Amino acid sequence: MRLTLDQVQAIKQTAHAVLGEDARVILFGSRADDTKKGGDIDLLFETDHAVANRATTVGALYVSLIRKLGDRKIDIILKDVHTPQAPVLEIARQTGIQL
Amino acid sequence: MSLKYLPEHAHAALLALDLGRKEAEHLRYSQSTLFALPIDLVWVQALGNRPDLAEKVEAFVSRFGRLQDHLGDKLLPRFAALVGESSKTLLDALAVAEKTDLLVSADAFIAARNLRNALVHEYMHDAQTFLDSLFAAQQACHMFFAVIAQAETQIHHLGVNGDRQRR
Repeated sequence: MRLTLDQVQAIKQTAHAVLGEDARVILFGSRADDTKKGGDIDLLFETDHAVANRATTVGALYVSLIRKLGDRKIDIILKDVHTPQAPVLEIARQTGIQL
Repeated sequence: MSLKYLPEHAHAALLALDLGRKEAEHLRYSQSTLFALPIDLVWVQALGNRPDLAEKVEAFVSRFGRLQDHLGDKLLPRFAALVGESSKTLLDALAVAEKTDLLVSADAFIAARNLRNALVHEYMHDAQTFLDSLFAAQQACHMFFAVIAQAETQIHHLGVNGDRQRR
């Protein structure tokens, strides 16, 4: 995994602040691969609750991460109880690392 | 007499405002025609089979992104420079814009940047997120238009004259 401990902490704090203490985060994509360099930070945020407005919530996650990690390329997927299954969710779970 | 602005930055700021006005008009047209349609979850779910409507959405998203990029990359940094503020990064420029009342909320501007991802990819597999994002983008349009309007007001109040600087 190519994130610092501080970055991991910042991401987890964001998940808990925006989605609640039981939220989970998976890092997937190139940052989960130690053999690669650079790349976006791809994150899957999962909650067992229903999110009232997913666009607003993803926005809140994004703002918090940009404020904590600096202005960088971050791709966020949010999975709540109503999010339909999609191949990208399975790929993230199978190849990613839970933070 | 102290200057309220730095004349050497006037021309660049006025050019950015002029282009911003034009891009805002294009976005305003796309926004008003798109959101005149009866947009709801069923409408979004039908987009895959309605290339005419999908194209309309794409035109809106493209113009939305272009205006936001112009504001973030050009207009806000140039207006910061105009009043003698340094802004090396987008976050700097947003902080100055908030301080000088060009922008109400830097966080809202940052959040709007992320909408484009959802508006490009989501309708295929998550119609609700796409719908939420579409309405959030509609709100963000008002924020962008307000920045342009506020920039025009500030140019007027500062008495900025680009012609004088270019001579």
